[in-house]
Amino acid sequence: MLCCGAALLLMSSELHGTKPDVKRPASELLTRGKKIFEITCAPCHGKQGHGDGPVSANLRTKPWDLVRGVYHNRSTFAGKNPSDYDLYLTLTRGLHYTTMPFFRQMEMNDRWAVVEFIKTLSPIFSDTSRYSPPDTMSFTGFVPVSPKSLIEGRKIYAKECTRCHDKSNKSGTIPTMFDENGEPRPLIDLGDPSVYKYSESVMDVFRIVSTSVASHRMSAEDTWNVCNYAWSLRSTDQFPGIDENEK
Amino acid sequence: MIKVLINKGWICLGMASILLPAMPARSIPLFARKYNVTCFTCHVSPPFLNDFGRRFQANGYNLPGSGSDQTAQADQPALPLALLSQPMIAHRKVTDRLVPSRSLSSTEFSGLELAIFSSASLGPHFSYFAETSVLYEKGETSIDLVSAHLLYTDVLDNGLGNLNFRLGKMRAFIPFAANAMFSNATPLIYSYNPFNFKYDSVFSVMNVAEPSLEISAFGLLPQLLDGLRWEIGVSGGTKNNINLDVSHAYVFSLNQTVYIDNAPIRFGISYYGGIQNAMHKSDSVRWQNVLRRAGIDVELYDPWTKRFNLFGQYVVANDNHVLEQGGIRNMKGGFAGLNIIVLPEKLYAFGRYDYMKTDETEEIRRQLDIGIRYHLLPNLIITGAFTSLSEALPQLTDRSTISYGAGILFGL
Repeated sequence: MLCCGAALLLMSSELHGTKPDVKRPASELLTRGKKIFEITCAPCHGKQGHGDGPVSANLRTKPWDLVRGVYHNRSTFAGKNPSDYDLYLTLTRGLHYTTMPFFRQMEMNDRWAVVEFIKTLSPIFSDTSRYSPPDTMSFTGFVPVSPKSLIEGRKIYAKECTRCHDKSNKSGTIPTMFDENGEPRPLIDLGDPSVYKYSESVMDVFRIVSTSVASHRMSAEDTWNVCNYAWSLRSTDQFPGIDENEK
Repeated sequence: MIKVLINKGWICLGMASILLPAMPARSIPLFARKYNVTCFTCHVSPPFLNDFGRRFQANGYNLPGSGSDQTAQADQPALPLALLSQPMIAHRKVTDRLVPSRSLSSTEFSGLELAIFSSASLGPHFSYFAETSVLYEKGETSIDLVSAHLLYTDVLDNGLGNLNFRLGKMRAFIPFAANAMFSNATPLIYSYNPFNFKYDSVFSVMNVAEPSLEISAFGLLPQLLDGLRWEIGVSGGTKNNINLDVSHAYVFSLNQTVYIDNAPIRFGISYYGGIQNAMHKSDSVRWQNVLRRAGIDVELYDPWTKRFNLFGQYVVANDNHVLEQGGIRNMKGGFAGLNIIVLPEKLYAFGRYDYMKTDETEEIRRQLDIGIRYHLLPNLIITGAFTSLSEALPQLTDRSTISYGAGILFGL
């Protein structure tokens, strides 16, 4: 519990803009970021960031179009730009089970340089109306994992989530969904670990859910419960002591 | 272990070209595990490297642009091992027009060969790569240390990969197209054998295509020209068999990549030259042969779909002393091929045509190789291939070999 709390505090402070103090002389940083981007990122994302790099033709999941400026891995709410730290986090962690590797071995200043350069690729980052720091989500109302939380989460999941995440589509009512690139999105099976591209803990699931579909539908407590349940579908390892049947 | 292929040179050469999975996959699932990505981050389909994989390799098996691998040790799997195998079964029909008794038809199994890889960071700037092959064939087991070398990367510590070193047993990175081909058939020019003009001569392969004890420097030079790769090395040579070895050789290559609509076009030059020590079978005569190989290579993707990959290489070779009494041999040859990404991460088709001519002996060899590969899983591939080889040496040989087969390639 203490560990969770400490992690929450740390993550919360990070998400509220207190990223490490980095000296960033703009032109030098952008030049550095551009150079690293062209070496490291352009093979997939393309030099202009359209996701059409030379590697892209061989990938079933196409590299992200950085020019469109659509980001799911955010701590900000829908319609807002991701924070610099959100971009930094994606670069640092990579996207699990995809072709996007993590770059935590890259020097921190270089990662920030790449973030700064990525922001020059899309016009959304020069749109001041898309920056609203007070709208950044927070981890308030944390509910630790417990049988009670999982049971509550399962109820909410059945009510709110299965409309899209019922992989079997028994009801036959799930409409085809499209992502921001206009590509059909497959139904997501939350029991499949590979769908947790952005998440390394239940807090990451909470962050994604809180800033997207559930942002105005559920209370913080309900969101925590359903996130605990969704994360438990992925693995029981994270929750020692929780009986599989209790899910 | 050194594969000893003595005597019956033509037969051995033909079989080596057709049957042996002579260019086993060099991909290493270890890296996919280490960086928590799929094979396709670096490979079009193993071992064919994509643009990112080439940069990863050029950066000493560190992620490109990442500078010294400060934290990589913490990310490494506890057991830095990966396994690959590519068993194949092939039917082969040899027709010898000059000596019909040498015609044959057979179905053969390549044997079970397990490639064991290991690679890990040894701290900032240092890492190693090793590959061992264990082959079980016809009741015998052989172990071959294919490659084992130490890498000192990002020597200038600027994160751009300007200067790196390798030391140990290895292949040259750049000039040869193993990384750009799906086919298992060895290019004819890689197995050019000036000593093999009659049946009882010693057998040699073009040594630069084989791993050798070497020290090399390599890197990228984005400050000078974006996309420019360079490599220069000194090889301690390889010992092909008891009658022939390379005492030393030099390797040099430059390769430039440019992009049209993000579709890469690569072209390069390469040179390999050195001294071979040769010995007559009877051990009665010893002599030295100076060998030189120079080549140009090109590889490009179509800029519209980036699914069609054309590649080719042209090499001229000169050997100044291939018989005990002397004898110069000049060879010209190369290959051109096409790889097609039919379904990304799933289905691929390939084809390649090889040609080789030796001026003095008028030896001419041609080879056509086509095939498909299908990924059942990212690390489980079904392959099928058809190869046609014709070899003509006036007064001595006029033979054709047809081979078709299938196999699987899997890695863990």
